Amino acid sequence: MISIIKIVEYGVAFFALYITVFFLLVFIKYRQRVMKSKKFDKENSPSVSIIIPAYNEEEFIEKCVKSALDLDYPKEKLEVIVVDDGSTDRTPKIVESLKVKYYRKKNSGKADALNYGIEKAKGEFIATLDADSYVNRDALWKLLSLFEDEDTVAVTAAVKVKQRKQGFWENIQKVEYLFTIFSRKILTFMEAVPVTPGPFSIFRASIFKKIGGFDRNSILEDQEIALRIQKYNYKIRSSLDAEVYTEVPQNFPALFKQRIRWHRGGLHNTIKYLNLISPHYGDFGLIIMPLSLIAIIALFGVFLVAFFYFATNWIYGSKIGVEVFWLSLSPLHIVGSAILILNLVWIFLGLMFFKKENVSPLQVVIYMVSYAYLLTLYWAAALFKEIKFEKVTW
Amino acid sequence: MERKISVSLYILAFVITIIIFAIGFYAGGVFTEMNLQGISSDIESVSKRASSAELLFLLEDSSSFCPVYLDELETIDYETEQLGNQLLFMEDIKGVSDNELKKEYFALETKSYLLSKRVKEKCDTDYILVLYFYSNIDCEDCGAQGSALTSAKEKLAEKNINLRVYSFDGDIESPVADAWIDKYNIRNYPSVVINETVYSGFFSEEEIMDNINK
Repeated sequence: MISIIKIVEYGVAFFALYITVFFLLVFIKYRQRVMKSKKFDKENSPSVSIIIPAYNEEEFIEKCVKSALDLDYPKEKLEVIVVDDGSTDRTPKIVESLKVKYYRKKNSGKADALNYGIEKAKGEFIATLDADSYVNRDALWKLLSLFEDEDTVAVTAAVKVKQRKQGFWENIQKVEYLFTIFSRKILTFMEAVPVTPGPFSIFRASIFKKIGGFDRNSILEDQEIALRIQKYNYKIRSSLDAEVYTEVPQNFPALFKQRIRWHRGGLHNTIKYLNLISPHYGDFGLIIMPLSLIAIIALFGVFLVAFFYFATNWIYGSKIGVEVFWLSLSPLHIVGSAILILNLVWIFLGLMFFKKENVSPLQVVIYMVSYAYLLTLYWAAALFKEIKFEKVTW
Repeated sequence: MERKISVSLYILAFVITIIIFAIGFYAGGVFTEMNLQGISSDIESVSKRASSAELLFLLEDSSSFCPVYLDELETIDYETEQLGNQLLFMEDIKGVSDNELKKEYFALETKSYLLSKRVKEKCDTDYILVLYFYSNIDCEDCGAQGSALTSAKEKLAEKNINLRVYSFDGDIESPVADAWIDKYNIRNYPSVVINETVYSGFFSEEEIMDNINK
């Protein structure tokens, strides 16, 4: 039993340390380019269509549409399209009062609504904007400036949490979203961005003709299309400062439900694109795709090891008392401390780019402590539902 | 586009990871060595204390000294038990077993046992002395036997009955442990000796309690 546990703990430790060191090295290599942004040539601004799919979004849609209309961009080059996916609330009434192109169709899912909008769109670039998200005025310029070459077909925004009650679960997500922005920026340098988030991402319109539209069978269509873009060997870039604020679940049941959908969708997409795990796809195929699978195993490994330590140290600790701390010091503790220190460095580096977000050290500590366990819980629940063949719901 | 593979970063990350692991193993080894040395030095110190107590017996073999004997014996027994638990922790949790250290410990246990027996006779105490023989190699019930003894000890303590358990690993070639094994003709594990009677095989908590309450 102990030997298996030892293999698991050292394996997990090696994997965690290797990945942490690797990403720190990527950051060091590309540090000069992280904040570098190009000035966009406003004289030759391309036409852009923003598609907002909406289903029963009466609470947020007005603010969302107004943020899109208020974008700092030549109005004659900007087209805002709302595709109402058969809402049964006041969404149609609200949208009709706004100066946007409005289409209403029978309910058939977000991917279908996006494809419907793409068909109607006239822009050279197509942006997708979730109906519960609000773009900053300068976001479009900042995103367009990242289309540096023809191979870059999509750019993702810096998705941040729309602050509401600033409760426990909202604050955890706030920190999580900031680190995701930072991590995604680092992935840009590896040409390995694995998702074009729904809240706000922008695509070359031509890419949909080449690779097709959003997959109506996927429950995580924003990841599916990103993996398809990777499959066709095109680039996705990420922005650190093109901000979009999105509504997030305010309590645990809502968050849990959302994450189960994300994880199940992620699992389906990973299985669908398993053939991307190949050196043919460079760093994306060698590190990022395998990481999404290994992470599941690693997380359960962490949970198993932590549980084992808790159980054994509790039994022996009751016999020996405080001495157990010094007695139990092992190579793993040294390696674990190194992982912790390097992760703190990573967090410090990430936070350097979000000084104005006022993230408190306590929020970071809570995030660090809870994240692995929450992720394990999400994965465990998602896998359980998969085994039961339970239908995925929004 | 042409995909890139950051081979140099893969290799560098691997080398750095290996270096940190090597440092971890080196430092872990140093910690373990320090722990073992600490236990060894504590065994020596408790052993000296036990020798001093024996000396006290030689100097003054009178029951009027019983409060002093009892006080001293309680400290020696407590510290011996703590050291036993520390050795058990090192062996079970960290997988570190130092046979020389265990031999030192068995000698200390024997010293402590003999002292307890003498004090019991001289001072008319109600100590119940138990010798427990186990094996780490081929003994399915040894873990359960250890737990049963610990549990019985705790329950008897609630009734103010002082059960003192002295454990010996039959796999270690220790002169002291071997002497006990020969004396009681121990042939299989676990074996428990209570009041000079040998009980071979698993001896449950209830059986221990019943036997003691007789």
